[in-house]
Amino acid sequence: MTISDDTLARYVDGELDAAERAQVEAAIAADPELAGRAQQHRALRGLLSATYDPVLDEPVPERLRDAARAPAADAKVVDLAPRRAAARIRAGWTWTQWGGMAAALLVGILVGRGMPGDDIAAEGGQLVARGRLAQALSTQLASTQPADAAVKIGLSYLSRTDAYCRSFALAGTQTAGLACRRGDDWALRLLAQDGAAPGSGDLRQAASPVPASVLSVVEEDMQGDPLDAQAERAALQKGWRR
Amino acid sequence: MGDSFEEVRNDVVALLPRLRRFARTITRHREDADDLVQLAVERALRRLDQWQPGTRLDSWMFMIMKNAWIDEVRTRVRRDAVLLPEEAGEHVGDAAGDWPTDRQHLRMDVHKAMQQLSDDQRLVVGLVLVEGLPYKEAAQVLDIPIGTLTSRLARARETLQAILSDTREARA
Repeated sequence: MTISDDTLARYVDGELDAAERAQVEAAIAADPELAGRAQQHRALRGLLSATYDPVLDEPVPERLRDAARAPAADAKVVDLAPRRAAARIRAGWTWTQWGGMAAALLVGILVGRGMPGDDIAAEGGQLVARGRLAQALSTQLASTQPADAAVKIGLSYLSRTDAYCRSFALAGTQTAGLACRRGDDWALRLLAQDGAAPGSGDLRQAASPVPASVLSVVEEDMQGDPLDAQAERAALQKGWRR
Repeated sequence: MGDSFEEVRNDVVALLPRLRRFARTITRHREDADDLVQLAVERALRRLDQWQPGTRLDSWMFMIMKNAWIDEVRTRVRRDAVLLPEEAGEHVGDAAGDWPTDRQHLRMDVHKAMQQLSDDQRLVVGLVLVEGLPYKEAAQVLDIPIGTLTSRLARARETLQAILSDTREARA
């Protein structure tokens, strides 16, 4: 009987049942040409194993273990929205009081980590951008900003709650974050401190100044696509108002 | 997060060597491979509640890696567009790493041949021929019909075999 290429591949890949397998094996025994083709398939699988299986014996880089073991409430990523939501249900505190304390504490922590204190402020239980951070968020375009800007703007997008949001990175502090327009302020939605060593050929750093921790929040928060250069400029000219 | 999440987390740690191998089959550079694993692990941990106990954790992780890779490819195309061709070619060898010299040529040849495949074909080769997933499982990971999977696999095999037999003749 003739064995199709497809059947032969399924044979080598272990996809046949016992009866089909017996048929193919009988055909191979009777046909050296078919046996040769089966051998080619096996040889290819062998080459691929020889090429990629040694990866299994390499030590796993520490950063990958750390990523997998990072605690659920990763101290390096402060998602401000859930924090406020959790605070709201605490008995005995109004959320504004609680949020105000938490925000003030956060400012302290961030300043301690090298973030200039005059770039953020706690107001009404909410962290807002001030100083050069607010300035950059309001006036800087990702498409025209200088490479050595103190605040680098990453993505700009429209959130599910219909506010403009922009991701940013602060030069020299390994701090990145996400701010959304609220009235005349930029409310900080997320702050992340990236522990990864800079300049290690990191793909994401090369492609954009937006770390993965920030990107994954953006993904969930964004309606549609990020603003392109033209839409970004138009939003700026309207003062980031909807 | 409950204890069951902790167990899954430990299982993810145990899977890291295979996740790295899969990443190496679909990316060109080894640094990109580890970045891809890291990105996928971070995404997976944010969505642990979406994993269904009783299903294969490795398949779920491969699916997240596939999606992360597709996101990355879009940014990559832009970056590679500004790279000089010589520069791009120079890095192909880096992916092979510190293999002993006698086997290194072979592995570099295979890895180079893999770069001639489309991303879709490399994903199929990685899942079926390297990771050993059954067709059905691999098709689910890639969210494609089995027929599409087998035809991609067949084309990928043809291409790889043609390139590798040419290379061997050239070396001989």
